[in-house]
Amino acid sequence: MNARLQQVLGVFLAGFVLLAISLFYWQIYRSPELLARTDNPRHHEEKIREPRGRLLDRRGRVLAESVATDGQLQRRYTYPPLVHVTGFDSSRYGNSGVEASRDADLRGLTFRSYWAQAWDRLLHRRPTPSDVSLTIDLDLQQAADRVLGDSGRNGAVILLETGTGRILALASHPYFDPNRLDESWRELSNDPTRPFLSRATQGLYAPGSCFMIVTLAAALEARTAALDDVFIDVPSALEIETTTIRNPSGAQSRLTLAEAFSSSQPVVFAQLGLRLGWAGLRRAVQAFWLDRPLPLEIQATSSPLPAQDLLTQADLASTSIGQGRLSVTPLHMALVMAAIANGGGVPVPHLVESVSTQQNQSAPAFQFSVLSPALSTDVASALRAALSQPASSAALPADTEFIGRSGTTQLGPGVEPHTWFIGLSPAISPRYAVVVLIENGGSDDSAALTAVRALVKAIPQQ
Amino acid sequence: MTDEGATEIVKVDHPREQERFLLGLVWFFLALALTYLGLVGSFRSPTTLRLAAALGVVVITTGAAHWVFCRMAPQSDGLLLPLVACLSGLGLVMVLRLAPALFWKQAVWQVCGVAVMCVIAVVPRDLRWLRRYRYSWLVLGLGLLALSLVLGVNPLGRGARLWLGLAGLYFQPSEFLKLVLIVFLASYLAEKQELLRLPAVGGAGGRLPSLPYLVPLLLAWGVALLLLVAQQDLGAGTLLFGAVLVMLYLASRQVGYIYAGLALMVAAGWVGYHLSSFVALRVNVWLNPWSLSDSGGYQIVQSLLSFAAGGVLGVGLGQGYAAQYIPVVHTDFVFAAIGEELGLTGALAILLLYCLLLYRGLWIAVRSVSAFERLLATGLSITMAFQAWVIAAGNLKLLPLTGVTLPFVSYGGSSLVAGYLAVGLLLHISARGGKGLSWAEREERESLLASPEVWQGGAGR
Repeated sequence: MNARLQQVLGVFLAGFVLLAISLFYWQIYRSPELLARTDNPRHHEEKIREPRGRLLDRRGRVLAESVATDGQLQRRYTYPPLVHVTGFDSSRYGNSGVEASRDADLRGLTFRSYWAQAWDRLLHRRPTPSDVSLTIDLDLQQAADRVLGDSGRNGAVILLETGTGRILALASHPYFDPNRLDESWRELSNDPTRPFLSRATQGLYAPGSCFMIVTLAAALEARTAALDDVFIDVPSALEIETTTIRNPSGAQSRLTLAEAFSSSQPVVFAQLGLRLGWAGLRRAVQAFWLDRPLPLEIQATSSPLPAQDLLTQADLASTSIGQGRLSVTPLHMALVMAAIANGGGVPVPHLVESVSTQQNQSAPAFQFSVLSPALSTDVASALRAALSQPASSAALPADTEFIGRSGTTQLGPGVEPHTWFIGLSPAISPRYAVVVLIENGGSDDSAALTAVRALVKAIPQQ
Repeated sequence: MTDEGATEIVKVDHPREQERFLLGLVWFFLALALTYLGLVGSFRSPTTLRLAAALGVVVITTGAAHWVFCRMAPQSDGLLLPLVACLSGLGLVMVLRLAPALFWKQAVWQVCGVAVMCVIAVVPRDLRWLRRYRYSWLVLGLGLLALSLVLGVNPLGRGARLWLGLAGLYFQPSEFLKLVLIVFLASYLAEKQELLRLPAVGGAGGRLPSLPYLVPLLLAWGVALLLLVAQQDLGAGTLLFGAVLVMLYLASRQVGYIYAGLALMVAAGWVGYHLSSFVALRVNVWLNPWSLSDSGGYQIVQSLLSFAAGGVLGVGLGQGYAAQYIPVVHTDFVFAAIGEELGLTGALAILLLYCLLLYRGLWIAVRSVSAFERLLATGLSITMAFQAWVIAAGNLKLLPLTGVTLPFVSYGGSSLVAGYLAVGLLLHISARGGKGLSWAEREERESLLASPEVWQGGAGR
């Protein structure tokens, strides 16, 4: 009997060992895979209980915070038009924008060492979250949103501080309300105007006549032309291969390059581009960092040129006047203007100013640095001089507040062209770059200019 | 005084002191757990009154039991009470955590159960009253089960109707039927075991023995099984089947029973799968719950997720999410909740406690003084261990899910009281055990009496 009892005991013990192995299997071996499943309710449960830091503007005004509503924490966004910058934080749809890139700070993980975090985990203590201050100034942002709102159209506005790379305002319409993300996700995803797209940093547009500043910069930098070069007998239309480039103001008998720039003469700049060649244009595209990803806290699209063997001379001509193979984002144009204001260096753009803990310890998030020395100082000042010349097209009066150019991008027959405005403020020793893009804004830019004037007026004088 | 040739069994000299010490440890552990639960401050933190009541109930009931044993059964085993106190204490903590509305009921059942255990453990003399009226007990058990077939309800309002209800208290006859059947079996086999061991036809081992002696047994067993299957209480059916097989094997030394039984079980399973949509559903969910994770497989997937969330050390008492996301977590899936909140260490500790319970029960069986008590102790221990194993395996997707409870830990009055009854019987048996001859001696003597040479020698005289 003893022997048989021992056998039975042995069989049962083997059974319990099998259970133990099964426990190891599920609790350790397959645990990470199981926990990542979408039907695991723990992600959501943790999220509605996890305290999260606030997003603030430059002056400490709250842009996003976690608010407790009957036991659950909900993310509240006080200024929805900034959603492309702040991003959203949703347990179902993940997070985007600064909410995503600064997630570790917002959850309080950056000021804690590895061992401190392990100790917190053992005691089931949640780390204290930090607040993230953005470079955005809410007053300027509201003015920027008014620019777009008044035009009644979609588009983007960027206001960049050239000496530091701070982005003071970044507006992109259409936007959506992140407070109502869960309810409206489906219609937002199917919306043909694509509200999730941040036009300021991800929208690629043909730059049109505003690109002439880049062609000019490239030519001056490569020393293939100078501002007082004279062009004689400029035809009203230029034919290269299958493309025809026309001058809206007809043939010109004689004008300097500076005058051609002021009056936005496409034929002159096409000729300039042909003289520059692809090599020169590529160098400029690289120098202005148009073709590589930008180190920004939110997603910014880059715009590389196609491979050389796909490009023709006709492409060169049309690209030089901004209607060719190169599309840019408004941020790219802002960086170009910043380089001109800076005396040649493209600054690294930033959206996050600093991160601070509850005890008011604050750590700056960036230092000014130059992304790329795009121009030499004399070329930069020459370009500033060129921009200061009042444009003969479009009533842009001489102004001490800003210098710049407006332009349009032809989209084809029957479609209103996009309206661009690129500028620097103030006119003497500019410190701010302004770029406005209005989709299908038409050729009349007076309303946009008035609004830009208001925007620039709102910049606090220091 | 020892006889020549009789061995003195090594006993623990002071079982009551061992019991006192271990009980103290268990109380300390429970106090810690309840304090933790109170401090967690989770969204469903129990009130201080309930926490104190939980500790109070365990301390008072087990302390009273200890006092009773000191007075009236001082030689009974000293390990069983602390083991059961730990398990049922943990059960109270889990009920407090997972289904607070049912806490007071479970506390009441705890008091009843311990009272029953004390009574059974100290009832004087031997268990002759169990043996003498075995048919009466059997009829009572089957009758109650039949009653539940007709009048049965389910406190949840849906699912198998296995309970008899009166004034808000529910009672599950199949739990007691299990005990009754084991008692019946033990007494029957104890009487007939010599007959069962004799060869039916001459030949080597492994043969099926004398069927006529098995008939009443098979009848009782068959009726019980049929009733359980009719009620769709497959868990209890499986347990009964397994327990009977093991006891037959132990009494008769014929491995043939085990093989025949296993074959029968597989055949029954196959038939059940094809005939019963209920069984088919359970088996399909067991084989692939992932594809059914939002319908039939939801429970088992959430159970596995709870285990995964537990990791090695668990997420902490009161801080898991198993409670809200697993339906009927307080009965069928307590092990998953423990796996999440106490982690791998906690779950392994629970399994170890059941192993200890089994081991102790078998130890008591070895030291018991009669064949009946030996078989009874074995049957009871094996049933408890098997039950724990089956439900743990169901939680871990090793077996299809069955409706049995984790003994002492799951919420369930009948299960708790039946468990305490079983432990009471074990204690009673242990109190009388260890005196006189050891089992080794007794076995030898019996086998000598039964060996062919002796018979032939007797016949040839």
